[in-house]
Amino acid sequence: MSDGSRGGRATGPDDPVAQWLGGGELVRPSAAFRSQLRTRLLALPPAAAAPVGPTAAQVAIAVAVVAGLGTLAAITWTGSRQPTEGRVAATAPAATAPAAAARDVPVERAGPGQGVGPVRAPADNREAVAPPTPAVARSTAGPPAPVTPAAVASSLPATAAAASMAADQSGAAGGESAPRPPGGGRAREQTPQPSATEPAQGVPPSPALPADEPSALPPAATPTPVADGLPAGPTPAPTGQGWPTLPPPSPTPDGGAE
Amino acid sequence: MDDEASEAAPSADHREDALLLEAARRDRQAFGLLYDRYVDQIYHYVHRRVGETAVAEDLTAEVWERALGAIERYEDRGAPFSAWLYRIAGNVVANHYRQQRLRRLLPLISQGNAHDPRAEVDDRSVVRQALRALSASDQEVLSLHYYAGLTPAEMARVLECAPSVVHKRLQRARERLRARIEGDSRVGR
Repeated sequence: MSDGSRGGRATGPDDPVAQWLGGGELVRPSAAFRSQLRTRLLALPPAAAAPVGPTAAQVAIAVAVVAGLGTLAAITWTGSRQPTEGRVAATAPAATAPAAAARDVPVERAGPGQGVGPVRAPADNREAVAPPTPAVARSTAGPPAPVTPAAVASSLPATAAAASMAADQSGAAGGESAPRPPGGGRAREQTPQPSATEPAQGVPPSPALPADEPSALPPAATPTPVADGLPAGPTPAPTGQGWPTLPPPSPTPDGGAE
Repeated sequence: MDDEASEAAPSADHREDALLLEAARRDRQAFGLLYDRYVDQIYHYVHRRVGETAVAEDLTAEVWERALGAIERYEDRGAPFSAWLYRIAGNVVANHYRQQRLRRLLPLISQGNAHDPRAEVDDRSVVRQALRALSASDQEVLSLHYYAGLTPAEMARVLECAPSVVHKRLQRARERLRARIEGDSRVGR
């Protein structure tokens, strides 16, 4: 390739453009500029010399933006799910709270019309959620027939803690475990049950109970950690929400005597 | 014709460039040899296009920095290395003029850089102004031909088109520049 010193050589003297544009001699850079630029070029770090692709800072910013968007999306999603959570859980066959409670605590299944009081969760709900029959069979080794509170107590270890826990759990199982009169109205008058239901205030609603029955929600919410996580120890591990120490063990809960 | 001769087998310069390029990808000192070889041509080309030494130095430095940054991606397609450098230089000069136009759009900035009509007005500067008024394509063709002194065949390698296309573009650009300059009363003939 030509060296540039032949500016305008491709045209003849009759070309006015060549006269205007060409004709100049080669313009050389100053020696100082030449050597200075050379030194600077050779001293450039490779990263600065070849700015290809995103820099580390750009990558960090992109990661932060993506993470922020992800968090925002998660928060938004959670917020949008919150109001319907109770409803969704109520319809879902949650095997957690009631089932766990029923697994450990023999529960007398209220018969038709029994236990469907205005306060407690209806027996139909429980049936739809977690049939207690297997639990009863496992813990009592008896038939899945209705179990009386006396049978419940006798099936448990005859220790105070166990009895206390049984009473506790029976209350935690939605208030249906305690024997009730056929009308179901006795539940409110039973001594342990109010104490078992009260601390449930403020506890997230149980997924097993319908959201439109607020009175049934609190007791169903509490049993999950208690029934599942507790060993047969001396203390029923109250949640600190007012779970009182239950009265001295009695072989049969209040309602069981009936 | 010399155009066809230029497109013949790679010249000794080209082979030497290829060796230097291969080395320059790994060794900065080899890049320095390429720099020594072509810095005068590139500076001349840039200086003729912008007309100011300070600006020409800035733009020449930018050309070489870009070349250094892209040397690893350079592909030898048979064209001489200088064609690649001229292409970079053309882009740098075009960007320079683009930025100048943007600055003129900003009144506060342009106050300081306003063109002084009492400034030196010679034929060369008028011609340069007329050249700048042309399209970027016309400017590039004319600059490569008249400032850098490339033949149409060499320009075809820089512009990556056929020599016949270069001939046509050169002819049209020449006519347009001529029309502009001849319409300017300041140019002595």
